[in-house]
Amino acid sequence: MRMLLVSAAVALLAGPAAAQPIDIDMYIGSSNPAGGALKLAYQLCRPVVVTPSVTANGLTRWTSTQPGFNALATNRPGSIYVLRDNTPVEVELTALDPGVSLKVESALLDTVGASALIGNSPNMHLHPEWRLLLPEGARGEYHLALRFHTSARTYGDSTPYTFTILTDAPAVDPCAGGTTTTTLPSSETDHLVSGTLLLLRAAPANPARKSMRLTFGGFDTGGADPTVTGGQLEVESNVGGFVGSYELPATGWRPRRAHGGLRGYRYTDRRGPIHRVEITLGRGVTAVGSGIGLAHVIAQDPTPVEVTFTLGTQRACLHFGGTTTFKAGRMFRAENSPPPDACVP
Amino acid sequence: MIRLIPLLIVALTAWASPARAHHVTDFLMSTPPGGGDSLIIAYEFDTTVAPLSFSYQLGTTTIYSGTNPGFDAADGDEYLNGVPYTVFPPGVAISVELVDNDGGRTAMKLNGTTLAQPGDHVLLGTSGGQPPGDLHHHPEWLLFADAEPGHYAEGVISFRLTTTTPPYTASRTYTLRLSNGHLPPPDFAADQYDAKSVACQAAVGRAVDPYVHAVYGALRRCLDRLVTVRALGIAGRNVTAASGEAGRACVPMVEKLDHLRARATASIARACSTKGSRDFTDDEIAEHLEMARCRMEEIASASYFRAQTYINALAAKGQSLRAYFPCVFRTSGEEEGRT
Repeated sequence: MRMLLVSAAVALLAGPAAAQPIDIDMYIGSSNPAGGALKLAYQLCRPVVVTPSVTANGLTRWTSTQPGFNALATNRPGSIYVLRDNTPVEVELTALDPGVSLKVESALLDTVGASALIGNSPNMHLHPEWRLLLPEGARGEYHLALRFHTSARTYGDSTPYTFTILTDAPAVDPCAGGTTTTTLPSSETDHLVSGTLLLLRAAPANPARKSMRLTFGGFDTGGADPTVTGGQLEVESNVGGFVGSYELPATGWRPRRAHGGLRGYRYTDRRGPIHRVEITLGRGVTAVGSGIGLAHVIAQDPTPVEVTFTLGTQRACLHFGGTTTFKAGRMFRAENSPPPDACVP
Repeated sequence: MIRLIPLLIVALTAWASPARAHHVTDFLMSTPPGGGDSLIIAYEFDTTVAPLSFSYQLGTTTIYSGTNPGFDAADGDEYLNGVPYTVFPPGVAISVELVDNDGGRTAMKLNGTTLAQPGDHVLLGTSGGQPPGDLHHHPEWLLFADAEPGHYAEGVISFRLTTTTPPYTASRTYTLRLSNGHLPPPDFAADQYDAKSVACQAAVGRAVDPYVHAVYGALRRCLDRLVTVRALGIAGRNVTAASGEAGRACVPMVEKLDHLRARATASIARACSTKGSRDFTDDEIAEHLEMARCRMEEIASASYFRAQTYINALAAKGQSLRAYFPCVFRTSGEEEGRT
């Protein structure tokens, strides 16, 4: 009787038709050799392909145990670095489509903010269950975003990473060829661009009154479609002692069209912390945010402030130094900053 | 003794800081280090339990799952008595075949295929292959329980490795125990000494210790009285008084043990669930305590011949006492007239 509940699941899916070695697992490290933020080395263009596990009561549960989490074992200079021994790493859900969940050992993560321990470096090796619950017969593409956190003071939280969950393996390797959407750090296309304006505001007595405005041009999206890949904005200052990592999930993006053509993209999220991002193709990018979710601290002059804006594989790097205005605890303004020499790791 | 203490300290220090290792919990696939072409899995099957946890509920069936242990091939730095495990040359295709599903209680899902019935099989991978075509995979171990979440469940799953690549031959059958009774590991913080998780673990020990003693003690007192009744009966003596004593010893223990269990649950929950360290859920605590109680019942039924028959003879709250002690096993030979 019990076994009637178990569908005779068939290997519906052949492995991806890869022409090159596949990094099937995820590797967690840090952005700097001795600290920085937690970081993931993984080809996010590669979907998590789930297969049917159990069908009952009109619902099918789809699962996969790939990819797994590992601690990075070898430094990748300029990109990602091995964590210190005994660094505990937790995974936290930051966004998920209905029906999607992640089971990490005994912890079932099915709501935004839910988290679980993956393990401690260097022995971290865990295969979660990627889970999808759908009405029987339904298939499709779903998403889940997660970030990494540690209670070790050495490292900050990672930026969120968005995974695509598919019930059907893609016919061609989505990471192959010139249209790769890999977000493996070493494979990203970096753009060193000038900053038009970065304005950070704060009210010492009221953290909820923080705000940010960012404008820059000279960024080629390289065909990246944020309605598919989502985006990320990072604003950080070693001097100021803050790292702000803001996910811009694909669900918040809409194309902007004019005269039948694509004019750009607009991101909106009323809950913030980034409320609006406007991309005008061939012109520039403007991002506006406010509220307690903004990470910047301007008790002291944070110059220089590094900004990274990522869409799929395209990454714009800015360095706001030079001409700045600073009012302790209240305002930091940088204008017309030249491009940096390199992207921050 | 004096020499042992420094050695112990060194050992504990090393243990507190985990050494760099790789997939230490996975099955190690190879061939016998001493020679031979049969596939083997190096793993401590007899002393290791795969810890499963709640996955989902379908009607009256609760499904528990886990992804450890996984399968992996020897890579040359694993040894048995100083002899390295054989590393497969490229191109050895290995499959996994389900041999026994414990009466439908267990299954595994591997590479997208659910192995639910004996004979079900799936290609695990090929040595030297690029992932995901290689030999490192983590199955989804599945345990089906006809009970709500929060009840202890256990089962075994038997499987073997097969291959079509000469000269290799199929492995023997291996059996893995799947259980939901093992508590998950505590989540120790790294930025400070995690007093809450340490206190949680201590609370578990403090609660389980008296509870298992109480279970065995209650069963012992009950069974002692029942043995007396049986011995009197065999001797042709009046059993009325002894039967009354047995009833007084056995029937109230049901409520008493329920009360003690509730107390143990509350004690652990205070330290470990949402109000404490958040290491365990209420269901995990309940499943663990039920496992602890089950083990005590097993031991009692091993200590007392005919324990299940005795327990069956009494009732509490309108049903046989047996219903309250599902792990009091019957001993073969009880019906053959032996005392």
